[in-house]
Amino acid sequence: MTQSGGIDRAWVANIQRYSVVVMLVAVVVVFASISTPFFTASNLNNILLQSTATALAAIGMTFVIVTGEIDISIGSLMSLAMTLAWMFSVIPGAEAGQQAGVSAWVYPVGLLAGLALGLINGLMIVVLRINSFIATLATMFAFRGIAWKMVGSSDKAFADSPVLFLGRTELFGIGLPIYLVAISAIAAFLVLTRTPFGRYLYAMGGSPRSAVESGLPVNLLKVMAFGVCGLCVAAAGLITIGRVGTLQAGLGNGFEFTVIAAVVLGGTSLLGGRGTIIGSILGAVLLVVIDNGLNLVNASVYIYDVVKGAILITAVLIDVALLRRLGASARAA
Amino acid sequence: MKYKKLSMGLAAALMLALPSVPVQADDLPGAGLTVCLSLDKVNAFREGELALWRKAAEELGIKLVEQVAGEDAQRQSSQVDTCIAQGVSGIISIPWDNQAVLQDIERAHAAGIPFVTVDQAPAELNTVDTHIGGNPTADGLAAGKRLVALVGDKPTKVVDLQGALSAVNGQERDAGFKEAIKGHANIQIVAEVPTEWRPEPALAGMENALQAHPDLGAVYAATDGLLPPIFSALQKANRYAKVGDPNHVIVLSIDGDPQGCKAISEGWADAGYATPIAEMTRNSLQVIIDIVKDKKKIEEKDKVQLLAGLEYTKDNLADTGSKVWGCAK
Repeated sequence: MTQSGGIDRAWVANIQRYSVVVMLVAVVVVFASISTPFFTASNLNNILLQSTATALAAIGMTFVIVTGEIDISIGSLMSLAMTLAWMFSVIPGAEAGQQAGVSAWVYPVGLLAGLALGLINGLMIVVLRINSFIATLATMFAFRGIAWKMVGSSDKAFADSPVLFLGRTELFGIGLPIYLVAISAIAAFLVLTRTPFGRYLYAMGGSPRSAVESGLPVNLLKVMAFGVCGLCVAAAGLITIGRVGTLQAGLGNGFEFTVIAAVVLGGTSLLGGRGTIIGSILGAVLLVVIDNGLNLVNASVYIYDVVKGAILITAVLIDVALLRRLGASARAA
Repeated sequence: MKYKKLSMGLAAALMLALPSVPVQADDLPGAGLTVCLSLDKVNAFREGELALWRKAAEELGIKLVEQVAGEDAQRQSSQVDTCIAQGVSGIISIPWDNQAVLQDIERAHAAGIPFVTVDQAPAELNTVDTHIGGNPTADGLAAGKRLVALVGDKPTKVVDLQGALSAVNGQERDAGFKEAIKGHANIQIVAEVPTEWRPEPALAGMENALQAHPDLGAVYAATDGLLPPIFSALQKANRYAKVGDPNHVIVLSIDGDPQGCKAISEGWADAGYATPIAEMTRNSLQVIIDIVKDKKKIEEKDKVQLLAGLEYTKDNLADTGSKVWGCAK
């Protein structure tokens, strides 16, 4: 029993861990069979490029969610960070005629703004002892409101600006944002799995009480996790405005739900203590594959969210079923 | 005769020399009125509308109380309640939710406050004192007819970048466009993208469509806000070319905002449809004046004012530019 139970548990654990891969493969097979241009090198490159902003933000969100917290302000955080970046890098006199000339300062200012706003979220949670959902709900409104107040709601279109460099440059036929996500993913993976900081984050999410009792600096860890999230979201914002070529008042609207969906699809538990970087990235890719495939087959515009919702529910149901199986198997052993 | 001319000249010179008599604020048609302006959200288009509302209010002597609901029907209702409690003279709303606004209209009327909707109509038009909006179906039809005229019999693949599925304006702009191209078998919509008025889904949709159809012939966008991602995707696919270039992809879009005006004047887009927001915003304030100060009863025929957009192209921009709000300097 022990051996067969052990094999069964290992098998179930692997399925549970890689369920996003199974779903991704299934969706790819379906679309490849009904759309000729879907499974081509250029479209796969296209899918990866379109996934980059969500994937990068999902990497940051994974740091927060494995601690058992959540950040629902990221859409507004992205908007405010990019607004600040625009304000501090716009070339004086270039705003006229909606062609905003922007210097390369947009990158460091944007990243620093994202980091600072993420740290503000973390500090609010640990200093004021506010639940992370409520704290980031508040900053979700506040960040967006501040962004609007600062620059109004007119569109800022970028033409021939350094901000387009990140979004539109290719290296060996592959978009620069894809390299950025790959490097960030490797770094995040190493941090989460090979450093005390990463292990502490998992420990905090797995058992907050034990983490406190064992003397972990939980407040500092939480603030740092939110800081990482803010930084990643700002990088995602730079990719987005660089690709789109405009900064609009609605930037990031609803982005939090897409990113949280990607992380959950990737197998990260909203209760904390469990989750992987690769899972979150694959979750982001899966969401883009669905949009891309439906676009290519010119599906009804009303079906997109239905399909995404159905896949999300399926993922959660599979996850719950496999976890129950693992629990039952452990008890039997 | 000679003296008559001389005296007229002197009179004109005197008139120019004399300081002009300023119009007293109390003499303005809307003096003493406070109007609550309840906007559903902020974006570039709303920013343009708000600027024109402020200008018209100043000219009419009306004080504006501005509220923005942030795409939240509940919040918009609360803001309307605040306006009612303040005892405003009238309420002008761009409703976020065309059903939820019905309750707001009812509460305002119960308090004796006239209620005008602009841009987005309530679910039941007979509930509101007046509705003033663009004519999204007519704009879509005009764009479709322009496409038909531009392509003739040439087989043409089109991407249809729609607005929000929940917004009447988006739906009707789309319906009008499809109605115009119906029966033209050479024009084929190869991708319909629900953008929610946002550039990110528009970019992804354009990139995907260009993957499947590198020979794309035209793009129809429900709003000028989608032009930057359209051009971004066309650049990436090496299809970004001006009107007249064999590689050009026909671009048609609605709104007439500064980006639309620039795209037309520089030759990147073929035609735009400028919503007459100067007229819409001023008329809405005038309706409040008519009801509250002049005690006029709005006639049935004037209760719904749908103003079709103005088609502008590079060729007619010299004549139309002054009427396109996004072209105003």
